[in-house]
Amino acid sequence: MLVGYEFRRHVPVMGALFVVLVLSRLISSLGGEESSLSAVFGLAMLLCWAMATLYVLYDISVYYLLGRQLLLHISSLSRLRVMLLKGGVLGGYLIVLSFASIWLSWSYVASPRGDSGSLIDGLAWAGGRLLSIVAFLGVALLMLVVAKSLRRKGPMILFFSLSIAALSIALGFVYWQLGHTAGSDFFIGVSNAYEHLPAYVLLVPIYEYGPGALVGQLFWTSTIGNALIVVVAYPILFWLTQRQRANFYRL
Amino acid sequence: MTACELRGVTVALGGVKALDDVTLSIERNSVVGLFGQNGAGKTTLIRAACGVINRFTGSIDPRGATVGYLPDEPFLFRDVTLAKHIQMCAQLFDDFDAGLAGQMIDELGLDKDLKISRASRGMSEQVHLAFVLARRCELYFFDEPLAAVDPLTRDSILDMIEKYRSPGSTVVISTHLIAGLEALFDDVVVLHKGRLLLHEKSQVVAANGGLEERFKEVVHAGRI
Repeated sequence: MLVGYEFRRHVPVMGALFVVLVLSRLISSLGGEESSLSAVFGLAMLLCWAMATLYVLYDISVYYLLGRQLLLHISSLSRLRVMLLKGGVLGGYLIVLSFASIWLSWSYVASPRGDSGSLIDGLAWAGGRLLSIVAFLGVALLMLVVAKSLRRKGPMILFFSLSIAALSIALGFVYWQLGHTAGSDFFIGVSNAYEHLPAYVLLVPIYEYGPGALVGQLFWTSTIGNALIVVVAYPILFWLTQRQRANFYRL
Repeated sequence: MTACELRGVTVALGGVKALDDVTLSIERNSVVGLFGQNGAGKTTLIRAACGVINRFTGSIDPRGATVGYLPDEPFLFRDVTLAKHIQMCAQLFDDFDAGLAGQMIDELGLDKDLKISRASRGMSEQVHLAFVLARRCELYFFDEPLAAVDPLTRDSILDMIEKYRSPGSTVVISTHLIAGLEALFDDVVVLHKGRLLLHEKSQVVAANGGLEERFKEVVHAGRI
């Protein structure tokens, strides 16, 4: 019942993003992969992911920092269970959107290499994407819990926003330093012009291109990095959630 | 017997003390009126006692009692029917009596398919109250349940509290309304600018000129 309510609450936004993804794929397929229409899907995917990321950050921050959904705040549910509920439902939506994106953009991976490499690439992409979602939610919730230890709403929101931005940039820098090949460059987003998988800095896809960029080293670096984030962030998050002395309702 | 004990409770909000060294002992099975002007600290005291804010100094000991809390603003989801709320609250609160909630909704004459967004303000107040009373608690805190309702609804709300609160439970009702409420309470507590100015038996208050006079007297004294 509660999961169902939480799930239905996000349908207008997440459902709309899903529809946009599907429609943009249909539009882009009308002209074939080489047509200028194919760019519509790439652009839509980028915008949808940016929207989905911002929406998730907005939704969890208005609950934790602004005290929305009072019924959950005053309920007997433990903070950990509420966190699992909210994180689980939003994570579920992100996973559905991810797999829709991967399925819809299958040719982005498959077409340059031909059929032989596509399944492995697809599975690796899905796994990397899944880890990036779990890591993103862990980092976002951890930063929220840390932000709760501040006393005023303004600094809480500022800290949360800046910490997510700063962490994304820092992680992107670290992944790039560790994973890129000499002479290559990057852009944010996904493209079908090259033969390897995007790296994920939390939820942000980074694409490496250039003469040495064919081995997918950046993808694997980011995937291992995201796995490490999951291993480190969640125990700290659970520990802090249990023992934190903070106001869980706005004053 | 004490239902809840507050000792030296201080809550600071941005450099201002919303509660200032409040020590208060609430007797079991009593109905306590928590009075004060807007900004006196009533809501902060209730929120601290209910555990929804816990950054304070001092101590609050509800003696292991389960605490029911009616916030001073709507807490039910506007877009969910009463029937679904009953099911949802049964998941959200360990002590929620779904049958009792349904009975109270029936007595209010409401359709369980009604969404809270469709209810009038007075009816919404009563529905929110019903959902809190449906919890079988030993200690209830009702924050301004009588604000902005007409006299008939006010009486109905007070009747509901009397009729449906758990037997032997303790009730704390905050209000900035004074007139005509003397008979309702066993104890009277007055807060002013975060400080506890008065905690007396209502009979003592009545013997000293009534609630309104006593309230004005202690508030004016507290301003000096």
